[in-house]
Amino acid sequence: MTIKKRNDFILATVFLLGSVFFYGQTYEIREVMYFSLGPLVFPRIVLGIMFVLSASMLIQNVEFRRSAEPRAKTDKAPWNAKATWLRLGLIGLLLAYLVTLPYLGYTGTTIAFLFLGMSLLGVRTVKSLAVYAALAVIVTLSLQYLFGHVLKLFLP
Amino acid sequence: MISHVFAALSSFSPTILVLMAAGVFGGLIVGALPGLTSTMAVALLVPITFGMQADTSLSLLVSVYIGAISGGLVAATLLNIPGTPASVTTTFDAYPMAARGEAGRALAYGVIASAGGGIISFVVLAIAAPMLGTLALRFNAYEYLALMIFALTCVIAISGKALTKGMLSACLGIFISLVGLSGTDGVARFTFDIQDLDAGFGLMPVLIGMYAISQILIEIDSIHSPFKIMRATFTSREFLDVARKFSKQKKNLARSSLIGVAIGILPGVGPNLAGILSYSQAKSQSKNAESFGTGEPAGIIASEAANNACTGGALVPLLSLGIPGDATTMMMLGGFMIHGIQPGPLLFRDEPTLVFSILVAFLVSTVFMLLLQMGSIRLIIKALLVPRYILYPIILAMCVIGCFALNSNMFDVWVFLGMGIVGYILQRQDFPLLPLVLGLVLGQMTEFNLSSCWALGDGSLWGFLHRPMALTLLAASLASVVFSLYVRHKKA
Repeated sequence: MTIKKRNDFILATVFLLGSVFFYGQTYEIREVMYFSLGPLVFPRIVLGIMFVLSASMLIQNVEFRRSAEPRAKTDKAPWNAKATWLRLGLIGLLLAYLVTLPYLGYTGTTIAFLFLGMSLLGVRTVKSLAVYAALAVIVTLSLQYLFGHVLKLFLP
Repeated sequence: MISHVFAALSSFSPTILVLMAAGVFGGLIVGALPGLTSTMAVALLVPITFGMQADTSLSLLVSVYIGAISGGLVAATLLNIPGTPASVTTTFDAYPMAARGEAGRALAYGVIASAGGGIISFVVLAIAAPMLGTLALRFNAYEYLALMIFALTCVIAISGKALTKGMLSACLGIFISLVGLSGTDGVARFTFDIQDLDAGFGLMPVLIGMYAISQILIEIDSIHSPFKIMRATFTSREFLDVARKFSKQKKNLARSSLIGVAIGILPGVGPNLAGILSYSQAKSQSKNAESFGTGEPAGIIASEAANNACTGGALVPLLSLGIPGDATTMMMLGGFMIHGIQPGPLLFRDEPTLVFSILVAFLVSTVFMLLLQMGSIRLIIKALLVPRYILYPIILAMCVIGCFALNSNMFDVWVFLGMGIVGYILQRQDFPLLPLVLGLVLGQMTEFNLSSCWALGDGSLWGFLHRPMALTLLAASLASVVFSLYVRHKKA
C-alpha cells in the first residue's frame, strides 16, 4: 500500500479524526428542545458528511501496487527552504506581536513589528534598515492618528 | 420610490464623494498590485468604517470594490500578471498588445470596457435587486433553506476537479459557524468552556485572516522577484482613437457584460469565472478567433467588461436576499453587520434610502473609476514599484488593528492569526477557500431554516412539496451538482 499524495492523506486523516472527535463532543452538548430539531442534529449531519468526504479522500490517496512497479511521478514544486523559513519567521513575529500588544501597547510593539517584519522579508543593508526604521515610525504614528483620532477606533 | 432616489442623491455630500474617489483610487492601487485582492482591500476597510454613517461606509466599500476589480487591468497589461484573479483572461491579449508597443491602446480598451460593463450591471442591479427583493418577501423558511442549499451547491459545483476538497471546505466552514451558542436554542456547542467562544468565531476576523494572511504567506515565494514593467504611454489621443473604434465592439461588450452580471448573481461564483466564460464566448463568436491570444482588442473587452459587470451582479443577491455573490461581497456583508443592518428583502422595505444610496454609489464609483483610470495610470504604475517586503508587514499591522477594533477584544485578533494559518495550509493543498467562507456565512442560517421547516412540517420536510419556488431551487441545486459531475467525468 502506498500513499499517492502525502499532504492530502495527512489532511484527510486530520479531517477524519476531527469529525470523529467533534461527533463525540456532541454528546457533551446539553439537549433542550425549544425548537423541534434541537441543537445536536445539524452539527451531527455536517460532521457525518465531513467523515464520509474525508474517508473518500483518504481512500483516493491510497494506492495498492506490486512492489516491483515504479511509483508514478507526481507534479510537485521543489521545496523552497528560504521561503519556508521566511514564513515561519513571519508567523513567529506575528505571534510575538500579538502576545506583547496587550501589555506594551500599540505604539512600541507596532514599530518593532514593522521594523522586524521588513528586515526579515527584505534586504538587509545599513541604508535599508534605516529606511525600514523610519517607515516603521511614520506608518505606526500615521495609523495611530488615522484610527485613533480621525476614525475614533480603540487601539490596544 | 422617486422620493427615495432623491433622498439618496441628497445624502451624497462633498465629503462622501471625496471618500468615494479616494476609495476608487485606493482600490485601483490594490487591484494593480499582484497578490492583493479586492477582498483584502474591503476586509481591511470594514473595521475602519465602523465609526462612519452606514451609507458613507457602504458607499466607500462599494467604491473600493469597483476600483480593485478594475485595477487588475494595469498589472495584466504591463506585467503579464493578473492584478486580481478576475483579470487572468485580460493578460491573454492585453500583454501581447503591450509587447508590440500598443500598451496605451490596450489600457484604453480595458478602461472603456470596464466602465461599460459597470454601467450595464448598474442597470441590471437597479432593476433586478428591487424585483428580487419583492419576490423574496414571499419566501419563508422552505425557500430560504432551498436557496442556501443552492448557494452551497453552486460553489461546490465550480470546485471542478477539487470537488471533494470543495465540499470538505464547505463543511468545515459550516462547522466553524456552529461553534458558540446555538442560534435556535441558546445552547453552548464546542466551546470547551472558553467564554470568548460563546459568541462563536467572528465572521470578519476569520475572513480577514483567511484572505490576508494566507495570501501574504503564499506570496512570500516570490517576494524578492522584482516586477518587470512594460513601458507604457497613455495619451488622450490613444484613448479617443480607441473610444471611436468601440462602436464595432458593442455586441461583444453587451454580451460580456450580461455574462458577468449573470455569473455575479450566482452566489459564491465570482468574477474569475465571468472573465473566463465571456472570453471563451467572445472567441468562439468572433470571425478572427485565431487572433485571440495575440493582442486582439475583443479579448480585452470581453474580460474587462465581464469582471466589472460581475460586481453589480454580486450585489444583487447581497442586497435582495442577504446572500453574498462573491468573496468581496461577503466582506461587505460584514460592513452591513457592524452597522446593525441585515441585508435581504426587508432592507428594501425598512431602509429604501440606504439601498438607493448603494445603487447611486455604484454608478458614481463606476464614473470615478473611468476618470481616475484615465488620469492616474502613470501613478498606479509607480505603485507597482513599492517592494512587497515593505507593503506586507504594513498590511498585517492594519489587519491586527482592524480585527481588534471590531470588538476591542484580543480574541478576535487571535482568531485572525489562527484562521490565517488554517487558510494558508488549505490553499497550499488546493482546497478552495470560497466554499469555506460561504459555509461560514450560511451555516447558522441554514440550521435555523432547517429547524423552522421541521417545525412547520410538524416533524417532517414534506412541506417542500407544497412550495413550488423552493422545489425549483432544490432542482437547480441538483442540476448544478449533476452538471459539475458530468463536466468532471468528461474531462477525465
